[in-house]
Amino acid sequence: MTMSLEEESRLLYGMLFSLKSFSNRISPLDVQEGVQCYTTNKYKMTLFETPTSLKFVCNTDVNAPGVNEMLQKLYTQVYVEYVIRNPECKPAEPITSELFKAKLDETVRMSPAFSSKAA
Amino acid sequence: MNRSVDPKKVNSELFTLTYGALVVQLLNDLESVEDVNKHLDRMGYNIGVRLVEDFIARSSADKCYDLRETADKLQAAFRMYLGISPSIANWAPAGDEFSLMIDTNPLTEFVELPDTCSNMRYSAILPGMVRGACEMVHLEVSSWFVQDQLRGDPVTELRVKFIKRLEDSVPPGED
Amino acid sequence: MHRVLEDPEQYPISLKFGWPKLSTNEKIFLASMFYPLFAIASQLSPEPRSSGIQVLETASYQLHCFQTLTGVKFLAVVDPRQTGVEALLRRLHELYADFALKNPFYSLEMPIRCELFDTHVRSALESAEKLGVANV
Repeated sequence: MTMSLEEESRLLYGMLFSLKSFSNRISPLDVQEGVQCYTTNKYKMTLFETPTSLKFVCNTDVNAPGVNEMLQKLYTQVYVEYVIRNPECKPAEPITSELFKAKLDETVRMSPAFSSKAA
Repeated sequence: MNRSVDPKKVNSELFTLTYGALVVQLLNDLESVEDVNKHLDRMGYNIGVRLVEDFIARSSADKCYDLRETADKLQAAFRMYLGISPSIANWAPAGDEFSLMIDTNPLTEFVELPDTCSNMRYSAILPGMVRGACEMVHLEVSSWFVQDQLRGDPVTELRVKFIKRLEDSVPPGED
Repeated sequence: MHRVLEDPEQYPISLKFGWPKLSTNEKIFLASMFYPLFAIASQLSPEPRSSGIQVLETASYQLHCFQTLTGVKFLAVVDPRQTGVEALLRRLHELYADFALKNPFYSLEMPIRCELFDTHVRSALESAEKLGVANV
């Protein structure tokens, strides 16, 4: 089903919100650490949420390894470095920094998740 | 008299007798043959919607991508539940209709229709079951008897016609 | 509870630790929350013709979902170390087809309150637990 990037983002955002709410309610333990990933027969969606509620989401092959580590790396080594510390990047606006995009690309390509056919 | 007791045969006779008792009781209660036909069809439908899940679980059935696969599955179900092997025949040129040809119908093994009930569709439970089962896997079909050995035809022919896919209820991820 | 443990006449006792149980209404509520999430996962797929969510993983539990061709879903919330959940769900499907669907007094779509079903499900769960969790 093809949808625009904007539609997809909106659907994704709503879904992540509901998923978190659902997970908290069904969790048998009182500690609620949030959803790490889900798998279907065709793909895996991995979610990494920072303490500031910033969400990193990645779709991969079902068996892709190390996706969570890759997302954490993207946060600490790419996002924090090239977005937070960049006075040009304003919060809540799409990131246009070319340097960020280049670094993002590089980090993803170097990750083991990428070498096993990341989607 | 030395009649060896085959457990499977004994079960099927009890089933045949039970079904017969049911039909006669319905006739007594309802009086109109047409009402009996409708009731049998309704009962078949209710059985079909439940039995299909059992069929899927036991035969690890996969999704059907066309009517031919559905026909194969129906044939397998007749074998599994009634112990008979109908053949598939008389495909319509458009490929949306086919028949199951039944040589021996376990429901009617010892039955003769009296003249007063000549328009009774004695085995109406069977097309009802086909309809109910197909509906649960999101296929709307209509099903009826073209030929009936009880009415003097050489073979019992159950016809199935594809009407449409029930889009609204297709489970997510199964499109 | 303490009194029971201290009384020697009660021994041997078998203790079973489990997660708190949900009420029927809570289960219905959670299932209806899950249903759209299951469907949206299929829509968000980068590949065409994806199924819905089959496994949902968190640090404290995993949720497995098995959907049959009729759209009926079997959900299991298990310890992340539990194995054999797929087989368990298929077994539950068989038990549903037998002890719920073949019970004429059970109405479709309603909560299943059939003792035979409960007994068989409980024993299927016990075997899965015994075989499944890897010794840590």
